[in-house]
Amino acid sequence: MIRAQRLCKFFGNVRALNGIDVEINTGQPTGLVGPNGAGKTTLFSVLCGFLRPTEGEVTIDGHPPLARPLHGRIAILPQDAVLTPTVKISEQLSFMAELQGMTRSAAKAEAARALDIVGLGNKANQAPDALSHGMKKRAAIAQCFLGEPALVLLDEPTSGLDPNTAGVIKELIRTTADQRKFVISSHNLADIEDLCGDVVILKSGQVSKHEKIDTLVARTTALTVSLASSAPAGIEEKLSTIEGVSAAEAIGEDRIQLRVLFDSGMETEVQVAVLQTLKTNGVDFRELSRGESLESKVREISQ
Amino acid sequence: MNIQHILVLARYDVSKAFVSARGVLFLALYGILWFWILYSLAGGSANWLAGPEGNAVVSWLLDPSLARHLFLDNPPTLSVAFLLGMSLLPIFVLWGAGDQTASDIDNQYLRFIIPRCGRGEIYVGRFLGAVIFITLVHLLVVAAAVFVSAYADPDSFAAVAGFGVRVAWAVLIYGLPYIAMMSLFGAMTGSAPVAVLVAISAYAIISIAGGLLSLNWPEAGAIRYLTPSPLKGPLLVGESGILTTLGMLAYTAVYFAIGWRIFSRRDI
Repeated sequence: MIRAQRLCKFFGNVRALNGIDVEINTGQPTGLVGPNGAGKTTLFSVLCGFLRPTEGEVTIDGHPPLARPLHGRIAILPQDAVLTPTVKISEQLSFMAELQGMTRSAAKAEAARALDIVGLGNKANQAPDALSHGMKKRAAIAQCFLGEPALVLLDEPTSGLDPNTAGVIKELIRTTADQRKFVISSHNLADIEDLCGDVVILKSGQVSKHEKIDTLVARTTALTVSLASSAPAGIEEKLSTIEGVSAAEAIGEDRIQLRVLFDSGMETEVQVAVLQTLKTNGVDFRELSRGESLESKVREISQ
Repeated sequence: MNIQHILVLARYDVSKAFVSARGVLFLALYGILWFWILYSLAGGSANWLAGPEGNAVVSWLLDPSLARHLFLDNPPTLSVAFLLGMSLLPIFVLWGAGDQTASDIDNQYLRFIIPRCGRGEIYVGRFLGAVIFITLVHLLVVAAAVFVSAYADPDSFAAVAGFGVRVAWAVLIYGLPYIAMMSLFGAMTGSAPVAVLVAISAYAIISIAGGLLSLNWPEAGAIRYLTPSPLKGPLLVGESGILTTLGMLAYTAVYFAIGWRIFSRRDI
């Protein structure tokens, strides 16, 4: 669906993207993550056609971004773009729907439908100036759902939103993900883990990893234990002696988490044995989760 | 290029121009200025210019043939409005048409539009929207001037209206290159205030430098041809109508093409 080859984007001497090769196919949503300065927003902007690559090329379904055959088939939520502050949101969305080829009356109805699905049906006649930050974001997201886009690119869809509003947006993505492909760029790795099937991790303008999240966090072969306090010295060795465990290590400088790798098929036995070992050694834990956390994995990969 | 997209963009742009803060400010100030000018002329003071003394003065200030054409052969009140309008037009068109793509590049609003239509359609649609907006404004001004002239001058309404049609045509055709110039500066700067400032400065510098340089070095006066202002004279006199119109269209095409080249390649 999306294919980038030897993609470079330079801003003067700064190499924001430095030879990106990535292929994103249809299916579950894809996450685009990386630390600040990794080139996430630049890659997103190049994929969307907002920025022109210095070298290399991007194609979407075989066409350059924004090519005529893609008009109306791709929807984009730009991170910093704002709707016109003084024009009613229904008018703005109706205008965008008309640009997608709808008649004026059909465009009005479509704008109303899109605003309804983000919960802004009762604010249709208000201008963004009169809306809260969260509502403005939802209005901007609503324009992504005009018509039947095959590909939706969302840049930080939940940033700055309260948990309830973010929940509405995530639910919308979750429930419509079988009808279209989503590519989501976000700093919120919990959202990415929650919504996406695979993830592209960027580091210094290059793709560090592109993998399925289940594989990346080893859901069937790893456990992550969050502790109440730093792991005592020697606990890793004790955990490693458990039958079926291949490795155990404390994560981070604060040693507040433990990662336990085990042979697949022994998940239940290992979980019980790990908890017993921790109890025996007087170690309190807060949470035990299957797999590694995407956050720590991304941190590890992008360091 | 999808004509439907262009029409939708132009229509939306025009409707926005009449309600946006910038559009309303432009309309208010330009409206007040023209109200004051036409109110001042409504008493028939321009008729003095059609007399021997007045025409002698204006012949000395302008060109004798232009003075005769405007104030003896045509209704003087409408002629004064015409002369003032053509002199003020560049600055006000540069201002009124100053935000075709600039603000939307600046605040990234174009990122909502660009997945739905081509850059070419956006550029043409916004230009067309500005042309419609400026045309509507000037048609209103010319219509008001025609009515004031019909009231203040001894000429028949038919004569005033006939001259009014030529005035309207001259104003519209003279405005086109300046609208295209703003397409160019808007695409180049990506900021409406900066685009207007740069365009007005460039126009003023070229006009002043061209005038001063030509005093001692006549060839240097050619610098004035960077803007369409040297073609204002023929438009006022109504001479070489087709050639002048073609000249204006050529200026429009050149500015438009340079602006399009910039817009089609720039990051949005």
